[in-house]
Amino acid sequence: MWNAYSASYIKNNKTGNRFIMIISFLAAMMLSLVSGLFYNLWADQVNQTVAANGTSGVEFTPVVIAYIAVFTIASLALIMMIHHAFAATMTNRIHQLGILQSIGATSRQIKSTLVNEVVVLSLPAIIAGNIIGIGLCWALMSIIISSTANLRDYTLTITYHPIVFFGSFGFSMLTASVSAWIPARKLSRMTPLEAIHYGAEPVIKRMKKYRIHSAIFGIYGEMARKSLFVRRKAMRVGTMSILLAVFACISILNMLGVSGLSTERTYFDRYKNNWDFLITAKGGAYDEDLLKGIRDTEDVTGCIVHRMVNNNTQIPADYLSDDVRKLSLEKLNSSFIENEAGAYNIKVPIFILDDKSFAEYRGDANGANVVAVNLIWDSVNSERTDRQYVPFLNEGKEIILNVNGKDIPVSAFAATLPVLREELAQYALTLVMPESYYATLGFNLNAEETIYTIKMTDESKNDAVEERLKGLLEAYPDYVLEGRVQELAEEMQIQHGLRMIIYLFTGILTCIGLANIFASTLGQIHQRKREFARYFAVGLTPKGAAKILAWEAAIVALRPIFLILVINIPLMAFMLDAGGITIEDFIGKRLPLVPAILLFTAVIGFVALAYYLGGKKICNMNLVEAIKDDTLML
Amino acid sequence: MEILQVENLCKIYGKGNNQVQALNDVSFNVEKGAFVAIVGQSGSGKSTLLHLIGGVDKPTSGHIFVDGQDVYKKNQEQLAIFRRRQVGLIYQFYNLIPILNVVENMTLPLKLDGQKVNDERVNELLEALGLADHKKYLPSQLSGGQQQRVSIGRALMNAPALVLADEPTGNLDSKSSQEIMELLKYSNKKYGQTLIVITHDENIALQADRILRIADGQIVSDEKTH
Repeated sequence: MWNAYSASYIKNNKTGNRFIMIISFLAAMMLSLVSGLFYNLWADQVNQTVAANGTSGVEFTPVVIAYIAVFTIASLALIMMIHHAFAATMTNRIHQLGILQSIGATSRQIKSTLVNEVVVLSLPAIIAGNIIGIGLCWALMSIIISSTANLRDYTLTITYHPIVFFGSFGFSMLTASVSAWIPARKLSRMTPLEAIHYGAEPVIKRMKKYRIHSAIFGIYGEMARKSLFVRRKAMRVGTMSILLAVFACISILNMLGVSGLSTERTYFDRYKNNWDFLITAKGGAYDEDLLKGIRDTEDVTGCIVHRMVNNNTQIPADYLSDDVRKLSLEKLNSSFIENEAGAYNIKVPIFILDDKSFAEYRGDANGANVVAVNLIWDSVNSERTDRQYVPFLNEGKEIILNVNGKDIPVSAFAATLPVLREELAQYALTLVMPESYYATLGFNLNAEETIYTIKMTDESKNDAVEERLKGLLEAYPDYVLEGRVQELAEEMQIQHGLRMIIYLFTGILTCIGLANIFASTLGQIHQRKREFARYFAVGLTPKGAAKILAWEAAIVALRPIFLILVINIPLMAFMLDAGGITIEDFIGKRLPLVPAILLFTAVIGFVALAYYLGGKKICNMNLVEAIKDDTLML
Repeated sequence: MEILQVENLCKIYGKGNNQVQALNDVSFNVEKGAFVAIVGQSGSGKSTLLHLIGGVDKPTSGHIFVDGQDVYKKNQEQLAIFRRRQVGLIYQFYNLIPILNVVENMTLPLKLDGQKVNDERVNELLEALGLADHKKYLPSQLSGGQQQRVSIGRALMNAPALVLADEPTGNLDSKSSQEIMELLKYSNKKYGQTLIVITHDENIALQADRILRIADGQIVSDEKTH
């Protein structure tokens, strides 16, 4: 008998069933896609760990944590989507099932009827969704693999495991069954009379005041906002997914943009005139033969070898320049604190250059062995983004610094460091000296690395010079060669890869969010018809109904966009300021305008479409039937 | 002066073998300020008649004139404005908007019409309806009798020419039923509004000035009680 009831219900409720099947299909497809992608990205991380450490197991790097977070959020959202689709239709049937109960159906019979119905309706859709999800995963992974090929020095292949299929399939079916079982359990706790009188809409015990909506958008805006408040639980998954998608698209792309601009500026503006290639060796003095070989290489215009050691010294107050004394050293840099003897304990980085390079750096300061870079940032009178410097030491005074127990007389002053990759954050006191002089000091200070900074004639010779340098380094297997042009290209590719991942997750989250909006807009059409029937009965016009629905769509679509934009304005102002990047530069070069416009258009367009389709059904309803139904249900 | 004229009204639901003739050639007039009860068995067509007069359904044939205007010559937009301004509908199960409180429900037709709410009128009605202490309550926080009072308040708020009540006491106990009827009679007398009440309760019908009896979609008797 109950099977006959179910068969009849399925046969006569084609619209509702089609909705359940579509939602089950979409959710299962996306769950399968997300699971497959996650499995592949996870497998990639495992392979990378094995390649790097020779051990299996995954390190919980920020990338892995991001994968897990996105996978968890996306899976939960999809599971909630299936749950909401079933819960909405099942709750509507409590009234109908109450009638069955009143004529003698037991709770067990009703539960098994509902669960069987769910299996019949969703099983084919969930299987089809899973299979198509695997296909989409395959296609997307192919795109990811081909677009990131240059970033990897290993082969990435598409992998799949049956457990992924059974996981996504199992979760989809389990969610559908539980969603059918919950109203069945609710029903078993009611008397048949209570079930018959059970309203499909929740009893509203609390309502927020939306004075701003009311004042700005009138009664239509107020009703739209209040109606959304009542249905907030059903809408939550959709709005949260869209919010996360907009966040990923706008905030993360903005951050990547700032980082990209900063990288570009570093490699184009700052490094371009400083170095083209770097050869790094573990600490110790430089290799004369290699240095000669580099300088003799065709198209190489120069090479500086340096290493750096750190130590401390005491600076008596009378060594300080007049400018520093006027401004107060503590104000210029709060880390400098005067000790009891009236001196300041200061860190001294010492740059040790090969003799030829030092001679070129020293220039006309003939005979000098120790040059002090004599500048300190005037943080009192200039901003971080436009730094002005004043002399740190009194250049008219004989300066002898006690470093590591040795007295080192400063024989000349300079305003800049040698042309190297390094830039010192604090110019207060940096010493530069040649290897020959450093050797006389007999210091036992070890530099971590020795760096050969190489310049070439022009960038068009990059590949040829690189080959020649590689040839030279064949005798030095532990030395590492870096090329500025190559590094910039790699940095840009990494940024491109990251952007691709962000686009992918934005796309998935947007699809999930929009599917949920469709599910909650079209899945609750029965309740919404009754809601609007009441409005029509007191004189709401079709145009008025369109206004309410338009406001609702605008709130659903624009709120996440507005919220993320509001968050991003101060965030970006802070990031641009910290990175010393002008807003014009960022807008001109890195503002993610195209993805943002595409995303906003998709969100606004599809939300509008969902509401248009829902609105059409609402406005075409039979008002008398809707009112009659209302009276019957309540 | 006649406020309502119903001429040869027919309403057929369904098609082919499933056709049901809910109303069959119904004609009658109602004077302004009258209190008319329409009485009939379940399925006699009385609710259909009220829905047609109220502009929420469309007749198969015939005409309804309210204040001299043919109701079903209006388009959807004009019909909605007609429901908003010229009739006040009261349902057995209230049909209040659950997201709006008492005052908001009562003033909704005015707000939809873009009219300014007259606070004095709202307070006067709230006092008359005994809802002065429940202004901010949501429908779910009110008893059935109180909800029906709100529904009456909403119907009277716009001072419509015609108040139509479909079994207004059908869901209430006898004490609340009598209170609701007193309120309807009070508004009929005080504001001179024409009141048409559908009921199957003879005691309620007898409180009206005129009783129309309907059976199988036709008026079978039209009698004055006073």
